[in-house]
Amino acid sequence: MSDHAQPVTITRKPGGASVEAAAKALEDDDPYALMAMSYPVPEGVDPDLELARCLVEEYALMGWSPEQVRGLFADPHHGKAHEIRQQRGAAFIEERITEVFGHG
Amino acid sequence: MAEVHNWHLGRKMQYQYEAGQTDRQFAAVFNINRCIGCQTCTMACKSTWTFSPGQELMWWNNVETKPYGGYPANWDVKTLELLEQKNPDGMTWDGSADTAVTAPYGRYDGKTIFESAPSTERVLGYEPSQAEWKGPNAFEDHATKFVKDGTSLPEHDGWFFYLQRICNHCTYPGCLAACPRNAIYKRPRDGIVLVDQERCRGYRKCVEACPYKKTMYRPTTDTTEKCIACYPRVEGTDPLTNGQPMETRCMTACVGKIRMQGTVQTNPDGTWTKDPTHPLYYLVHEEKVALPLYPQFGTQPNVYYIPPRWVPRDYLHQMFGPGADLAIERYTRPSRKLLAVLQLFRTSQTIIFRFDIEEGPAFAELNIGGEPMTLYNDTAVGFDRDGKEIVRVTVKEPIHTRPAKFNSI
Ligand code: SF4
Repeated sequence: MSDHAQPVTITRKPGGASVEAAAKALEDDDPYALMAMSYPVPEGVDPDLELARCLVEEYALMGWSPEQVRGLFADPHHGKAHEIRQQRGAAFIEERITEVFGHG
Repeated sequence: MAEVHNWHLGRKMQYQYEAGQTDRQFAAVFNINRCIGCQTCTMACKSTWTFSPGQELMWWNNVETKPYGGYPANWDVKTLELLEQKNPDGMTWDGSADTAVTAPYGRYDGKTIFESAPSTERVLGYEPSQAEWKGPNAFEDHATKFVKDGTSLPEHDGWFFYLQRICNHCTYPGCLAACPRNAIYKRPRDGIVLVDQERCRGYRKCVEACPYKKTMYRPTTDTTEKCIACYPRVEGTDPLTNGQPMETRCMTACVGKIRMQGTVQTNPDGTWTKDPTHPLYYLVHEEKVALPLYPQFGTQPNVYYIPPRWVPRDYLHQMFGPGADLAIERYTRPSRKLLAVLQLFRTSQTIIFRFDIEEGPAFAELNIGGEPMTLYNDTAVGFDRDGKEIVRVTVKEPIHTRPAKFNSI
């Protein structure tokens, strides 16, 4: 048995019959595989830029201040916003904020 | 077959029955840009209506991740493929977008699911397999394969969005057209589409015919069930709103505040009666910021979507028709009035029948989409069916920061 699949016992109802959900180790040809539909990013589009701009504008239109928007990107609880900042750097976010608010 | 007017297509089309006038029509606007995929709506519906034996695979409300997700699996790709086979490269509009409510997106050149039905059927469709109904979000948003050395999944590198789906309570329902027992009916009072459980014998022609796959078979009763638009709430019989029409469970539970629902007044030809102070009419017809889902199917669905602004346009044109460019332009740089109306989403459980905007002072100078834009702290006011004020909300969101010393977490 591999490390990945430990037998798990699931009891369906209190007092009911129990079943072993994963008694067998997963193998490479297991049909339990990722099914995805690829739809590529169009030529010349920077998805981080699009999303960062979208986030800054959406929050600016709700009346948020530059400080509050900056805080959104700095906060790891805001997963995608924070990820963009981690990957592209704080200066990249500052540029977007300046574009929308005209100042820092 | 009868000839009816479909304003999403900007033309007459063939339908099983004559158009019937409804007093009002159930309708909603979903702002895709704001959905966080929390599934609160899904669970609000499930825990109210479909928690009994035989309903395990039934999700009247579901939220799926596009482009690769779907419930039942691949429902839209399969119907688009069937339609494409019947009229190759035909799903196009003639580009004659008009200001008239009878043809706001121009004229559809192709065939609908009614016009391309095989000679033995009333509607073009298919019945999803049991496997396709299983797991409404299978393979979405998470890895599903154990790989020893780990792997990185490419799909989120590009773009994705959440698509919120309920029955569209269509003006020309596919399910209703296909039922051999006339068990499905559209209520004259609000256009809600219901299945008469006494008449239904479980033939599942409706399951085949609904292009959105929102009629669902229940094996324990051998009947079809579907979203009932929480009709007791829409009728105003929930004690909470003192007789006033109330929005559905999925709408009122929405955490992302993306949903607004109501009922609109309609004309005999199925178009909406002009009413620029009704928030849904304003969003759909005045601003044209909210669009029907796959209008080319031909059922004239009544849930409208503000398309996600970051998604490639060819995908959006296929999904929402030719109105997508204008809708995104208007949403990205909203007019002063639109910005105020957008604040009304999820501010009231009571259905808003009319809005008014009270002008406020300028409070910010921004640059949106490369152009200067002034923000005004206007107040949007919503009124119930009897004209009584039920909500008042400003553009500038009041923010209260919890001081660290009172933070008990
Ligand atoms: S409750 Fe609202 S934000 Fe959450 S998934 Fe449903 S529609 Fe999206």
